[in-house]
Amino acid sequence: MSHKDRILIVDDENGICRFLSTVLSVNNYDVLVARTGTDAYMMVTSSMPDLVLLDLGLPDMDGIDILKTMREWTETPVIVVSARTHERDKVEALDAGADDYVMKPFSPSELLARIRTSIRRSGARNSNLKTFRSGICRIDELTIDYDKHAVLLSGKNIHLTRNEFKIIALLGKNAGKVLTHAHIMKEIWGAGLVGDNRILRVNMANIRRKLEEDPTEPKYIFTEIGVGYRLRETE
Amino acid sequence: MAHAPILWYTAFMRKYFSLNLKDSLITISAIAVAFVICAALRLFNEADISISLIFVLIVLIVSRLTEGYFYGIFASVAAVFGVNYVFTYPYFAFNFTISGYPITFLSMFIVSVITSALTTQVKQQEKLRLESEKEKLYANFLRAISHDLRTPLTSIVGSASVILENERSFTEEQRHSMLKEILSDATWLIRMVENLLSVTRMRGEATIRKTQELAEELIGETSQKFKKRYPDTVLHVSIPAEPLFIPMDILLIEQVLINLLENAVIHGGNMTSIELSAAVSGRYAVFSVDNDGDSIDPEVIEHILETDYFITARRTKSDSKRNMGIGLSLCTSIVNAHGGSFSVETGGRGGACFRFSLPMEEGLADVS
Repeated sequence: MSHKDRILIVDDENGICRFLSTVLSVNNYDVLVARTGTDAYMMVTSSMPDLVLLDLGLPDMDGIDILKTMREWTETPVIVVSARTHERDKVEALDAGADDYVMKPFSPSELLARIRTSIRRSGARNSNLKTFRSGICRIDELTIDYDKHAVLLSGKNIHLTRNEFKIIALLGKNAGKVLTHAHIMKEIWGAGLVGDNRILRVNMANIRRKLEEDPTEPKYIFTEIGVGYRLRETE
Repeated sequence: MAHAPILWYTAFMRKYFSLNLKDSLITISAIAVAFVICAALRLFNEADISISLIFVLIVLIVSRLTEGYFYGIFASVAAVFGVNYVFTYPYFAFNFTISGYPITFLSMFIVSVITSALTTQVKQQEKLRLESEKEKLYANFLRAISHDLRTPLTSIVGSASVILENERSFTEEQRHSMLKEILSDATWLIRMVENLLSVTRMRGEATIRKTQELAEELIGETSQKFKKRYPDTVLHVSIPAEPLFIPMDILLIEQVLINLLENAVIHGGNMTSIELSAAVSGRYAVFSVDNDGDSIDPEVIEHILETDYFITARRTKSDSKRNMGIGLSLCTSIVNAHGGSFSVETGGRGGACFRFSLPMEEGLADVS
């Protein structure tokens, strides 16, 4: 182990901090804790964590504001950990630049998986997008070929419409990350249609029928209810 | 806090002496009617006695129909001055000094003010009574929940402290099984809290916020969540071949499906598999959760959907079926709030079959 990834926990509840610190240090991460938003700002700049676990309900400021400010100057992955349950809060956090969202209560294994994904994704981003340099994204039996504008399932070419390909390409470039309905709508259809995402759902239903054996038990494209979609990440 | 008395004063004034257009109109027209009636009476009869009685009655009506104390008192003052000006000698002039007048008008004023104050007070008491009734219902609900929460908490606290106190004396196996027990109780608590959150979500907004949702996304997500929690249970899923859009609050409907699936696992007895399906029937989408476990007592079927059935039943029976009451009554209220209907029967495969329908168009909700 030459390098331990450093994780900053921003949370004001002692119990959660202790539990997270234990789980993370057992799993070989370097752990820092900030109890307030002000501390969080300071520690993000001074200790350059590899990932931030951000609680939205802090005593001195709203977590969303910290996230927005951070996004003005850094791409450090942020996973929002929150007890807020409304899907609007999830969407808001994701649109403000959060890489992922974990709702309390969560299982440690789930959180660790999300952390690994986010750190890996940010690593890939920094090493000049090595996944996409080849122009190909492979997930299990699914291959997205960006150069040829083709999608293959177990080597067989799948016919997709232009928009369907654009959607799957967008999800592929962000594999592992939840993209909100609004975000996908904006990328594919432009800002004008945001608000009614029925057209996206219909396209998604069609893609699902073409790529998934059983649409109710998807292997590649996962639905985050009320929030958006996520493509399984490259192993 | 120098502001406190001022704040209290403004709050008080706003509560009891606030003005609004509707109440002002009521007051003015009531007084006008009183004048017309008295003028009419005057044509037939010179006696003054009925006039003050009519005005007191009007004050009472005004206090009954308007908010707060202001209008009643205003009407009393207007009545005293109006009667003195119009109906008593000297006509169309104020005079309170003629012998007997001070007592007459003072007593008329006091009677009407007291009448108005009493009426307003009765009205406020009625309001309080309604509120306390609601509070009582809420308290009953909280009591039922607290009772449900206490059982798993006791077991968690108990197991955890026993492990801490006797760390050495347990075998690895014993400790493991106790930790597993703690985990399962805590997981149950989480589910309970999810239901409670749905309740607050329902109470929080006047109407349910519906959006067009795809049936396959709902069912796919629900079945995955369920399989994660109960990997050993076989769940068959069927959905319409074509994409089906249904207006709903998807998180609430997901909660309904999860509750029904979990009920099948917990109360299904020898249940081996569950079928979850969505289909179109006329202008409704029909969801059903069917299992092949033990059938339910027909007597229970009859009452199972009544909101307070489990809360009352629990007083006499043991609490082995905890959580079912809140879960099911929440399911029915969610479906009802969507304008759909909910039913239970003994399904084709022997176990309980829960079915609910949701209108596919917004307007349908009003018809049903």
